[in-house]
Amino acid sequence: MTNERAKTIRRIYGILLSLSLVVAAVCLMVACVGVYRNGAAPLYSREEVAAAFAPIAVPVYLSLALTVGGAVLHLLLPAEGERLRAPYRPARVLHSLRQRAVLTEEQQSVAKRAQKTRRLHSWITAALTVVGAAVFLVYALNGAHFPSPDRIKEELNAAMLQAMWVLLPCAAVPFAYGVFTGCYCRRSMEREIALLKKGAYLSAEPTETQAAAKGGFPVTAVRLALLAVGLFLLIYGFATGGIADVLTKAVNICTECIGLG
Amino acid sequence: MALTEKLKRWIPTKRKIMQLYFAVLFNANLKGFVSGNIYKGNTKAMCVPGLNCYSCPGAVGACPLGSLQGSFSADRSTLYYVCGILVLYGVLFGRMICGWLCPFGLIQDLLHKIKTPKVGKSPVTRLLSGLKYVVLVFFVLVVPITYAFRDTPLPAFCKYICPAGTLEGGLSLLANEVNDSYFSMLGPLFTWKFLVMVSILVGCVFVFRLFCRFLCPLGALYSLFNRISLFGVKLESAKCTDCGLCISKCKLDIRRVGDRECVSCGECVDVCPTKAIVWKGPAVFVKKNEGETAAPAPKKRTVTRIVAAVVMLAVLVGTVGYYWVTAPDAATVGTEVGDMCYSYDLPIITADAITDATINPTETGKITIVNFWGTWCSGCVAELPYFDKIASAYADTVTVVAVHTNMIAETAPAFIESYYPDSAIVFAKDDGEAFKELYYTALGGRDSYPYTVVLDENGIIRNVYVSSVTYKDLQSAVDALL
Repeated sequence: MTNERAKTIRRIYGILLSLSLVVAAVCLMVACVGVYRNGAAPLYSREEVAAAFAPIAVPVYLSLALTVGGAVLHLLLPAEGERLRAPYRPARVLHSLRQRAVLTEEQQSVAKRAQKTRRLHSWITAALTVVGAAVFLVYALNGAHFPSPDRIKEELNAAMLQAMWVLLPCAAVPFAYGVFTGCYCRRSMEREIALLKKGAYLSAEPTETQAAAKGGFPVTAVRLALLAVGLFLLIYGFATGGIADVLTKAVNICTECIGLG
Repeated sequence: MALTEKLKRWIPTKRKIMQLYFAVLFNANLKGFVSGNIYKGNTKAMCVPGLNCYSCPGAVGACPLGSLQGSFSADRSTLYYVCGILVLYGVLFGRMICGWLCPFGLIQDLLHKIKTPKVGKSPVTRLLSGLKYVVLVFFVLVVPITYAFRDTPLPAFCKYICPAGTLEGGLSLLANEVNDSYFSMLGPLFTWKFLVMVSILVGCVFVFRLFCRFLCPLGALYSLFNRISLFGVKLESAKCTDCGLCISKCKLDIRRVGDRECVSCGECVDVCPTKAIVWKGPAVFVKKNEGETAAPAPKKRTVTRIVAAVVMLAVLVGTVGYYWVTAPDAATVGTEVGDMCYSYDLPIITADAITDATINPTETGKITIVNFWGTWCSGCVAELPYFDKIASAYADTVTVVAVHTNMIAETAPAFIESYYPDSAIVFAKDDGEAFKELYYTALGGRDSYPYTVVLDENGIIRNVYVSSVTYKDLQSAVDALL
């Protein structure tokens, strides 16, 4: 069989397998929600849950069979070895080009302006992240937003959901701006690379001197200090009975913690 | 390509073998999967380095994240102890733990082996990798600490997110019939966590280590130590030509080898054309870089490897064997406190008649008080108001089953109609067919009535009263179990 044909078979099988896995997952989720919504709450039983999951056995078993089939297929028609290619990193390319480029004044001003704009977007992203984190922390650290212990059972889930609604914009805005900044900077750098490649004379030797090497980070000293701190905390905690609480928690099943309820 | 060549691709790498090794080592209580009980020995006081739920029946150590969240509301010494362990793990291994020691990392790696089209890394995934720090701050630090100040332990990450807890703890326990009573607890929380777990596990098939990269707060914590960790991979800048092949090879969102996202899997070591990526660590454990010292003779190296493999295998077999021998069996069914109560369906008595409907005291999913009584027994009748009161006062958490002896049981309906027509007590009849004897006898009753047994939510006997009880007795027994 030709490599192309084997590749096509693998690709089609992969798509089928993906679809079956997604369908099986959705079926599992729907069945679980169904048990919750239609079950004889608050008392469920193994039989009740098994009966609710029985109708989705076919897609689940099918996806498992396809998974095994996929492994066999890849054994018989193995993919070619991975071919590694150096990643395209415009920032690095630009950096090395700049070191060798001899620019006219006009080109220099264009490049500087582009660089400034990119830096501005990066700063805005950073600022949005800081503001988002600050807003969320102010919300989260306000104890009034979380129910008191005697009302935890009734109100905690709602409070957590509310917190997630606050978190969403705080994280989504900087994330979205970060994606925009990434795309913008890439396009901007590609334009600058094209400008440098076409319009500038590239000398064989770097025209800018490398920045002086930064002072080394004292890895060993920090490592030793942290090792000492860790050992001290561990021994002190152990000696003062901290181990007992860990043991108590570990040998008793916290049903809430493992999501049972 | 010959079949042997094809099969060679399936030989697990050293890292896979180590991941499997530690997954078994951290879950060496294999007996727990059979008995459905978690291990309760002293080794559980020690946190394992990776994400491994301590409610998993196989777990022989504590989960570091669960312990950390719990330590905020415990004594201060617990916090010191847990933080000390985390700092030591971080300084020694950093995120190498994620790559080599974490059982949930292994699960994610195996899921990603399923042959589907994959979603590769991109600047978007690099941005998303910051989400795990948000999870760390909010779910592991802010919420548990907030509630610690109110003297209420609340492990928010375990409760709302942790897929390892749902998979290793929740589902493993539910899979065993011994834990059927847990089904009664299922509700919105389980539904939510099941959805989260399924989403993450399916996501891991398409996205490499989805949980590890974007959500795991333990990875976020260890990443802070990655640069200074004693073991792991590092880049020797002097040899690096900045070709970027290491970044191409890596499936994680690294910018350079050894940064906060690097789990030191070591796959980049072989692809580096200038051998600029090396293992760091003391010379006892790590082979010296090329040129620094002559490589040991191949024969000597083979012998060392065989000895190391034999020692590791012996440790694993010894550990599993130790836990198999020392871990207790499932709660023995019996009549003593701590025993699992005999399971039996008793016919329910109503104000009208002895019905065909049944109740099983071990399967109510609540604390259950089983009181053996008879209309003929004055002591029994005198204490019934206490049971009635406790059944009303703790209606949500306690089921009271008043089992009438098989003697003159036909008088019971009329008695109930007269005195307890609207009682929350479930009246039942001891029909004498439980294990060919009275249920009363099966539960350890020896000819004296009244006789009361208090069971916990799992059907395990917690108190036995071989005489009359007061309301205070019942209340304290129930409060101790709540």
